[in-house]
Amino acid sequence: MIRVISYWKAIIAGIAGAAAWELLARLLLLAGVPVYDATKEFGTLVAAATQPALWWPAGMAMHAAVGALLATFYAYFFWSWLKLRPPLQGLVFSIGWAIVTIFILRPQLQLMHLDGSSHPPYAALFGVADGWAPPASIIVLQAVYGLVLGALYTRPVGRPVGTRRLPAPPLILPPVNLALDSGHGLDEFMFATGIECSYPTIEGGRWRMDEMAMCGHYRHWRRDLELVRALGIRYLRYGPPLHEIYLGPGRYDWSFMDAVAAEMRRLGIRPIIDFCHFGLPDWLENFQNPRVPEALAAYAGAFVERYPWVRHYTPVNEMYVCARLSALEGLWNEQCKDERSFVTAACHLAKAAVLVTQQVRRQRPDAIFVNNESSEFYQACCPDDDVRRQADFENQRRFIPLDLLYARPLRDDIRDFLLDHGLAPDEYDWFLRQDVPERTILGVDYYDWNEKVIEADGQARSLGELFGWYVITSQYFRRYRRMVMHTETNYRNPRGGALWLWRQWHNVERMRKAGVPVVGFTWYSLTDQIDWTIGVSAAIGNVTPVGLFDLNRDLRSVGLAYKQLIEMYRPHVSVDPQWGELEDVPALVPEPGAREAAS
Amino acid sequence: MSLWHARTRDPEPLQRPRVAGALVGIAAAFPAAAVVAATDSVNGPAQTFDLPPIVIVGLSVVALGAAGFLYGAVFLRAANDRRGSWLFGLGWGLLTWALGPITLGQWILGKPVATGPNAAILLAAHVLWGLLLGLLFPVLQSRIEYSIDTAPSPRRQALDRRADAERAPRDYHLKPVPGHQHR
Repeated sequence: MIRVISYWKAIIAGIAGAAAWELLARLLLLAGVPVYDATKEFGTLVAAATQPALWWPAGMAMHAAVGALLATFYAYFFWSWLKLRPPLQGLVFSIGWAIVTIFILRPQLQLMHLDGSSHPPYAALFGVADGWAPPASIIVLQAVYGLVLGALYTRPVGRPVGTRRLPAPPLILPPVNLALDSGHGLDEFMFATGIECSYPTIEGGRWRMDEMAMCGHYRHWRRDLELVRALGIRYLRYGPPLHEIYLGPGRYDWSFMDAVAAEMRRLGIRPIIDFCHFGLPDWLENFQNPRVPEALAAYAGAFVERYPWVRHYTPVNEMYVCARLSALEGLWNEQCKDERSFVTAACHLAKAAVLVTQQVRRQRPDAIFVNNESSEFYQACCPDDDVRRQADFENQRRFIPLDLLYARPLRDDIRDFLLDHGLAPDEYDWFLRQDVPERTILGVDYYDWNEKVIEADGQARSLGELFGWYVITSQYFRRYRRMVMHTETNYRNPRGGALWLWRQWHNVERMRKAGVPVVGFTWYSLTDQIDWTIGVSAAIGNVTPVGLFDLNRDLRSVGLAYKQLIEMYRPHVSVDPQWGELEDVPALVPEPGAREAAS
Repeated sequence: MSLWHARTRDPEPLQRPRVAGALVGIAAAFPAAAVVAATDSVNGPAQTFDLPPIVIVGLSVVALGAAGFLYGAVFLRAANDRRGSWLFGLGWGLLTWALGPITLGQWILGKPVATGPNAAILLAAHVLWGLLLGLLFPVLQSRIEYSIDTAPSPRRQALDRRADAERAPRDYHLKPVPGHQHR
């Protein structure tokens, strides 16, 4: 699959385009302009030219069918290639098709009207025997078709906020309140994958991008869970669709999750449940809303009560990324672009993570928390004081939500930055007073765009893999001293996926050899994703080919490589849980500047 | 095009799109040939190319098999798309009609390959072939692909690729730098 398209939108747009063509053609013909009459050309294939009451509807039906078919071609093969407004994309597409119509389709259609004895002139075989008027009119009429098609075929994925799209649950549901797992919950190295489940809103909060819907998980959830097991994976990062389940205060629709949870139990999958993944239910609006932390804690409580066998939780996924893309870069949810909004979102997310953790612990004291964050690193491009200052600031900013979650005092200038941008001093003190649960795992996500250089113009640009997961994660480990899990990675070029997998795995091995207790590894995600090359910032529908399986659920090379890696290493990677805050690991590379300070 | 390549290529480790395309291309050619034969639409091309109708039909089946092989080679992994394969196939059928012997033949020979209803039936036969090609491709693919347990490993494939690259002649071995003294 190369992209997800909306068939019904394409068909409607194509028929509308053909109707616009016909309307303009009729008006011009009535005015005496010699335009190409495609409807008559089609219709007289099946009815006599003397019977317009027959050939017009027949011709129009055929013309509309061709228009609809052409529109699905446009949707599949052409849409979004050009960085133009949609009507202009349609216009460019139609010009190409006009050339095909002039030189191939029209001559062939005309040949279909001839009897065997006729012998058209050679120029007629190219459609240019009867002057410039018909070809010129084809270009104009095709342009009208293209403009209408382009204007109507937009946003093939996602849905308007305020509508719901959960599948109907199975008629007979197996029981879900099954016995709890025995043991301490961390009895093996966690080879994991995940179901991509982001659900931010875009376009000022009016359009919902639901990756589970776009990737077909609501349709193929049962098969997806079977594929997890087919690769020998037991741990699955899974974000139940919060926006579909949490309908309002105290109101939940568990129908979909009940079925999924029962199937997970049947297959022996241990889910790492993700309560908030880049979005909120419609009624909670966005991360500027101060009701978010308490509301998410209530949701977590209801979830744990319903599925008491679940042991592993991620209170909030990638808080820094969520706050940054929602409130600083203006891509998702509130779509703000200012520091005050960023601080508000980051603090609400961190508070939500704290309250969710506390709520889950009250109901499930032995729960394990996997707090994953995107590992970021900023490198100054040059010995320029401003650039260095900015890189240093960004290297501190990346820690803000985790520092608040783990009750770690921020560097003075970063604390002042928060206080200057809306965090009240007593709120800051509240974070520092919180108790961090023992059973906490630091999840560190890593992609090849996580390391960035701050250029002389102040812009951050992706560097590719410069230091790698081992070095960046060393910085996070030194700061938080918790057991570590590699919680996300993937690679956007499928040909390099298997190589990237092994590079990440060797990073994990190196970290373990250095003495850091790394307890899990994750290829994210099970299937390809949609529109992640543009950060899910627009409803385009292009496939991001990063999955262990593609969206047809066909295995990719990286999927087979991961299966073989797991088979090879599962017997050799043991886990000895070391809960709580750990000792430093001297074998790790020193923090930048630490060596100078020591000497 | 990089976007297209990223999504379509890499049918490994399980799929065999070229084989599937060739087999389905030939299989789908028979219903299309039957439509053409049943309506005597093959007579026009036979007269134009001055060949017996049965030879035209035989050549068409072979050519459509080759077109099916090309279909698999172009679309690779994407051809296995259960939702979009009918569209890929239909498009491929139209392409083989528009850029195949019917259009090219008339341009080269300077006279139509087919006229009247027979020309329409030849178009319909190409569309039918393409539609069947697209629809049947994923079905056949699932029967001939490797299983997950017997698939060639990515490591083996990488080693093979490296061996191929090392076997390939390199320009700098053939063209010593002028004036450079090899030791």
